[in-house]
Amino acid sequence: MATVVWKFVSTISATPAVTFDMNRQNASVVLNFGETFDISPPAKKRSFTTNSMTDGGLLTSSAYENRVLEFTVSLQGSLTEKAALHRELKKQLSQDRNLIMYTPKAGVINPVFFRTMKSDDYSFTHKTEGGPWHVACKVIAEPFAIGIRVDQALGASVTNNPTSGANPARLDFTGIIGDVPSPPLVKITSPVTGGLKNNPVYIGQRTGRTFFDNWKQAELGTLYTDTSTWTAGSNATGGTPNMIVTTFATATAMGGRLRVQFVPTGGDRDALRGRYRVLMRVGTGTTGSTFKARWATPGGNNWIRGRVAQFTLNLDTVQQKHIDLGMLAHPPYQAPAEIGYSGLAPGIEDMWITIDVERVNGGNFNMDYVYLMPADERLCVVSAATTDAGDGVGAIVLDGPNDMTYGGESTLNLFDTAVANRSLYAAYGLVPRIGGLPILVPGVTNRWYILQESAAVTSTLNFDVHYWPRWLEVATP
Amino acid sequence: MIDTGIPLGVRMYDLKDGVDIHLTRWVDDFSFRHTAPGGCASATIKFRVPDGSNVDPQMFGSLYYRIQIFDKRSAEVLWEGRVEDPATQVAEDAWELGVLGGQVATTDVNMPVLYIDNTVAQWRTISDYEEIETGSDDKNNVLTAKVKSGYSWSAGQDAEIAEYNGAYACLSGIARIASTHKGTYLGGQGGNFQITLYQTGSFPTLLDTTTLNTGGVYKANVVGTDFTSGQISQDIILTIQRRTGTGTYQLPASEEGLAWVQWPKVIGMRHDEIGNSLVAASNYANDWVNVHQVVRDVVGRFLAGGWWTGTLNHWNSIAFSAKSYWAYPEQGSIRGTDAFIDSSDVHKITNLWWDQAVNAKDILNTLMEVQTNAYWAVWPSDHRFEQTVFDDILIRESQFRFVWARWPVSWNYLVSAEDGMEQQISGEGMYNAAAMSYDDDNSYTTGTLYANPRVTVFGSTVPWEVEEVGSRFTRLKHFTYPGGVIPAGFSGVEAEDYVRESMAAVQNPVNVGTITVRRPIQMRDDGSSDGNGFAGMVDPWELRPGKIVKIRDIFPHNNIGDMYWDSGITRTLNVNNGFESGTTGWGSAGGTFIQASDQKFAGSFAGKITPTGAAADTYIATAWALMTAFETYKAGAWVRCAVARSITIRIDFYNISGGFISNVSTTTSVAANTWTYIEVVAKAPLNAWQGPSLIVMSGTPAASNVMWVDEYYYQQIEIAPRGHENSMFRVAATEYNTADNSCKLELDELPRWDLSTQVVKGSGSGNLRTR
Repeated sequence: MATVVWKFVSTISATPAVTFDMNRQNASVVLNFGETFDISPPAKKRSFTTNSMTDGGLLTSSAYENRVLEFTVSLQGSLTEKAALHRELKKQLSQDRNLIMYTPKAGVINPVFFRTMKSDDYSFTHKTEGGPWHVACKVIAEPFAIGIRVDQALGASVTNNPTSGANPARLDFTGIIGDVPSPPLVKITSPVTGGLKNNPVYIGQRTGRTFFDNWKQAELGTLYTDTSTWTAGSNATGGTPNMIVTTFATATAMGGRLRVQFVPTGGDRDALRGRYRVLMRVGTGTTGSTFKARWATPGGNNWIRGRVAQFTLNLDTVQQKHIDLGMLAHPPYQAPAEIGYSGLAPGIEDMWITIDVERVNGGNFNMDYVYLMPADERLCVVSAATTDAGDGVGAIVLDGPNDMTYGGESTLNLFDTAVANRSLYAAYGLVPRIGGLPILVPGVTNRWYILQESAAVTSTLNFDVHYWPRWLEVATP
Repeated sequence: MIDTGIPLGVRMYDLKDGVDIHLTRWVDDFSFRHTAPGGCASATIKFRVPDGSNVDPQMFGSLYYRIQIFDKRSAEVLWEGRVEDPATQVAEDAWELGVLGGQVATTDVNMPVLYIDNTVAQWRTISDYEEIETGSDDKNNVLTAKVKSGYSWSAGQDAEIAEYNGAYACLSGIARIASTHKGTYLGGQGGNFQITLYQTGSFPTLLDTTTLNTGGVYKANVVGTDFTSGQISQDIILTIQRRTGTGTYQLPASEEGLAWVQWPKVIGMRHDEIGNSLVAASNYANDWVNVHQVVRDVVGRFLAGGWWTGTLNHWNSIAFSAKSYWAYPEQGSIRGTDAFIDSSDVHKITNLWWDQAVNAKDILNTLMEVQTNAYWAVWPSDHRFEQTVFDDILIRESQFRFVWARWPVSWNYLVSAEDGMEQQISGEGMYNAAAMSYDDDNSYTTGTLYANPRVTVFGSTVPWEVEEVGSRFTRLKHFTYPGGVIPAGFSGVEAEDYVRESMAAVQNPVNVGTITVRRPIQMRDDGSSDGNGFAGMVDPWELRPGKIVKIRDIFPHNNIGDMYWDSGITRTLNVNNGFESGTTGWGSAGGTFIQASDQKFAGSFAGKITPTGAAADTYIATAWALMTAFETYKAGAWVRCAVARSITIRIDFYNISGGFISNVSTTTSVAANTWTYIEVVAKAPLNAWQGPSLIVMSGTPAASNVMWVDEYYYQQIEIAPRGHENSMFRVAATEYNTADNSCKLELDELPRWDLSTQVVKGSGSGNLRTR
């Protein structure tokens, strides 16, 4: 058995069906290492800012190009045998898409799979009738080789509560492998029938950082006009009291009701740096109450105030609701990634956020907590939206490799051998999405921040997370 | 952190058709453009559908599908528009989509509209009887009815004299009508005749009667007070009527009567920003409309669905289940619920109507002629899947966000020379321009046009119509004497200077080139001007127009040699400078301080203080003002004393804790009963934070030392233009290109100084000039 595996296969698998083995499927086919064998990493396209006032240039963006795999296959045997082998090789090269499986040491180093594109412009050389035919190929492939699928999480239950549960409004992943980040395939299901219907789900991401408590209980903050602590009988995080209530008894106009302070966990003052969507979990005592709200934070000699969100709430003892108050950056002024060439990140001050609320009409305004959804790596919002009177989709799929979202039954089994079990919804399957799907970064802790917009604090969602690691050419054994 | 190239995504969606496709991997590099005014402007997206992708690319060619360009890191939508021009390119096997940004929504609906009509152009005069001769005076805006001799009037008999047709012509309801009614002659029978005003059509209602009189009676009839929303109509009829119970009267030979209806002002019914009709009297309190009132209506009527039933909107009366119906189209392309509408402008629009179809864009552009520091923009819908329990989540998501914003007054973006500015600043483009009508007697007949390329020119009298919008539009800043926006006591030249100050905010900046940004830059925006604050580092694709960019390494004073300054630039710190509003804003000690009219330097009043005779010092003082260390302050006033004595004017400096630091004063000997100008100028010391100005009589003045003070101004002087303003520009448009990760900022030049902060005194020689 050849130690170097180089063959066209049908699937990404440890034991795929082989469509054409280019290295010693028999004595007639040999990968010719006497000629070029080049599977070097792809080139990058880069954008620099340069000028005559500073040396060099600043890299402002970069992305990988497609790559070209160069190799030569030598075919031997009778003319008939060589012609047949040549036909099979051409057939594989001319496929719109194909897979080349590669490992430098079978059984020792895990294989990777290059996703190739139609590349039948090879060089064909034969010198004698009885001698070998040499087919020098230049095969265009996607930038990264794909590894065998990793099932990172199966049925991980995420509670819609940042303070409790095995996975409190988040999922952590470690041990991600690969040379570059990989787009995962995620299936989200709800244990409750109809639990995904018209209930947008926020999924933010932060990787390789010191994490901090990115929510603050409203009842522990500094309270302002017409606002006091309050204890909700259920469906609120925290102890007693567990919420705040703004009565608007003296002022309905837009004004500060609450101030919270975010501090870095464990003293890592770099942890707070970043961008966030400011969410707050709110409710009301009167159906149809309409409010306006915004965040405000000190900036320089003045306040920086975010966009005003207007929303109408219903009295609902079960569902409080997350309201998105838009983007906030911290620190608000430029701070270097490192101080000089010291390699030391600067400390970032605590973050102070005031929530201004105005009552347009209706009753009291209740708040459970303020939540900072990280928004500087990946953040998406998906919603199994439907006007159907039924329960909507039972499973949401975030298909990172295809950059798609879609839906199906809650029993959807994405990798089942029976296609019927992989059926996607047609009529109600639309799963609108805005933002970037999460991406798994190797070698560091990946944290996904997950909130349901309208659900109880006891509500859970189940996550299946799979990914195919991305390698430049050689997988880690 | 993740390094995966430029983190942008391209999404095509139309939830009604079940389309939600992320094209990110299929598109070529592209660019998208924003403008101010406007917001999202245009983009061209070229993409290729890969073989075997199992989709029919034809579905992407549908008109009006939405294209969103968003940031994958934050789900923030950067640009959004509608597919307007889909085309296939066979040679390249590609699709090229011309996409119009959200601003195109402002041209969707075209229809006439009436906000306010203060002309008689749309009044049709009627003569029920040949003995009545009706007419209208277009110059003076007066409707007349001449009642000839010989006609016999029975009690209660009336005759129509005029009918208003403007509301019909403009498809609007009438919410307020105001006019002045007069009449005379009729052989002393004027008291037995009256002018009546009816709303007719479906809701005939007598709104008003006014007995003929020679002095003129101003009448205003408003929805919610004088008639109900159920009585709203488009018809107004004026009649002359012999009052009931007064018997029959035949005008004898050689006797005539004349009735006037002067300066009629008809205000149309408006909407709020979500499309509901405004039917409360409080919405129509004046004979003018403000910019923000019109903007609200434009959003509600033209953009958010208020056009659905013309004057009465049904959107909010529809059960939310019905709103969920896919095909219900009338919710409009723009949502009003979170529209940001700046309401700071106080200009009074007295004439604004279109009897030909007009769209939101044209109206908003017209309003920018009034509120010259404002712009409109249509920004992306963002990722709103749901914000209210009543909204249909799928409909709401597709509505754009609207702003009527002010240009910021300080920088929002910091850039430097390394960002490559294509053109240096030039003072050649310095240009102030303003056109405004001028009203001092409520006649609305003439105005003064100020047009100022470099040097302010006064005095040309023009018709009050402003040329660029013909007879349908008047912008008017009311100047009334006294009171109004001109401080009491200002008149003549000083009033004119005040006008100039107001006008100074009217700038027509010129485009001066571009800056191309290819890196993250600092942004700071407190949100006060457009309701969307943010501070932090922003990437090139996040830059937007409607902001101020500062080039930090352009030497601050590089243009000062081109200019000179021949009058103080000041910012007034105190109020009620002429004591026309009582003693508001003033304090005193050591005497009795009152507003007095027995002596005054200007206006109708002065401040007067009579010493107790016992106090060591007798003084009046301004309120404490916030101060800045090392800045220069000036206090000046006209004073008069019943006796000859010395009077001191001074400025006191205190620190942030209220601790006294020092003061600077000037003492002047004034003659008895003589108005004398006194002044002190001082530089604030280190740690100065606050303090007042005082005028003091010291040395235990006797009660006879009565002192009057007038035109007391306490001001901060900005000695020279702030240098950094020389490197600040408005961003009029941005165009981001993924190919080289660059954003080109198209710049407008800012005025060198914030001219609106100037007070140019009548005795001064002028304003900012160039040489």
